[in-house]
Amino acid sequence: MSLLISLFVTFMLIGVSAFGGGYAVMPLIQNYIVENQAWITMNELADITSISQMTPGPIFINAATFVGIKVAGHLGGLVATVGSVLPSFGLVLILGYLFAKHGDLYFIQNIMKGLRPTIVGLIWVAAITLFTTSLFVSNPDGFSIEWPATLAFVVGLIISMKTKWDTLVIVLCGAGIGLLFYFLPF
Amino acid sequence: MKKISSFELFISFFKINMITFGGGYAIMPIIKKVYVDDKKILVEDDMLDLIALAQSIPGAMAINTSMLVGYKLRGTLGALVSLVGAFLPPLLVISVISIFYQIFQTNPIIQAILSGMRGAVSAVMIFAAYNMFTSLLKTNRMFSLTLMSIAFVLAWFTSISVGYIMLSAGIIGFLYFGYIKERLSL
Repeated sequence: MSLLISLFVTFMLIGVSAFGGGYAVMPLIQNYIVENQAWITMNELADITSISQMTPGPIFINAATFVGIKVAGHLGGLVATVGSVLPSFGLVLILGYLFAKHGDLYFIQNIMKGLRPTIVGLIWVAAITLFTTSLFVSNPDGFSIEWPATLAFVVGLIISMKTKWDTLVIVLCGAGIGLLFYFLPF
Repeated sequence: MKKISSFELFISFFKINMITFGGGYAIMPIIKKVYVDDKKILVEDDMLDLIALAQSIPGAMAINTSMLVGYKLRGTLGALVSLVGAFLPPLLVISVISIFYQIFQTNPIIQAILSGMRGAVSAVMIFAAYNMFTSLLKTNRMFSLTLMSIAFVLAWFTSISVGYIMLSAGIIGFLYFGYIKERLSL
């Protein structure tokens, strides 16, 4: 029981201090989980990172689930994950309320006009990063093209432009293309 | 504003978080596609405002944005169901994977399927990011284009924290639209 509480509190602490999202949380996890609590090793943290790149979901949530399960089984995974999202849930309620009430204030709208184009710029960084890491795999000779991903990208782009298909369906088409590649004789 | 049921919120965020790789800003174009382009419940500026708010809260960006969309559409209950919808997919996936992650990392069929899925998600992201880019240019064209380019270059080429980039952009918007723009047009 004390282990579950400890998991909950530790991931809540990381959740409070994890500004920036994405990989910004990694040094915190290393500090709290690997060094202070010694729940996982540095190698396991590297494994979590590579699994996170392959699976859906934010790396912080993936890490919380993984560490929780390793330390205290599946209940531990649930407890750590809930702990990790609780601080942001509370802040969303506060900030969402304040923004709904005061968001149309003139100066806040001016701030937003500066933030909106910036966000689109940051989204482009994320989109191009995922595009390059998915379609090209670096190896000692430079890089090689990841053919299943490349074909799925082309098909996905055509579907996106021509149809209103659900995103899930487009991604499942990608999964099908990947599977097809595995069974094709080349 | 069109209505959406809490159940629909839950399902949509479950689906979105099931298929989104990469975390952080990678999920934003997907949420935008579903809520702005497909469901037409939010407009583009709403979406960008919520992303800006999500950035100012600690924790995973994907989870924060999901909760803020839920809060905007259905209040506290909306935030809660969106939160659960958003963290269940990574929780379930990692719970399964943690049992046999050695196999997961090396199995060629799984790798081929994931490769195809990542390619398809990249396509959806690039297409959505392109749409955000074009609609951004409809108002304050030069200002938006400049800020977007600066944000892209800083995030791509330097290791400056995204938080500082956003903070600066907010200040620039505040000053430009509050004080500078009027004087320029005199």
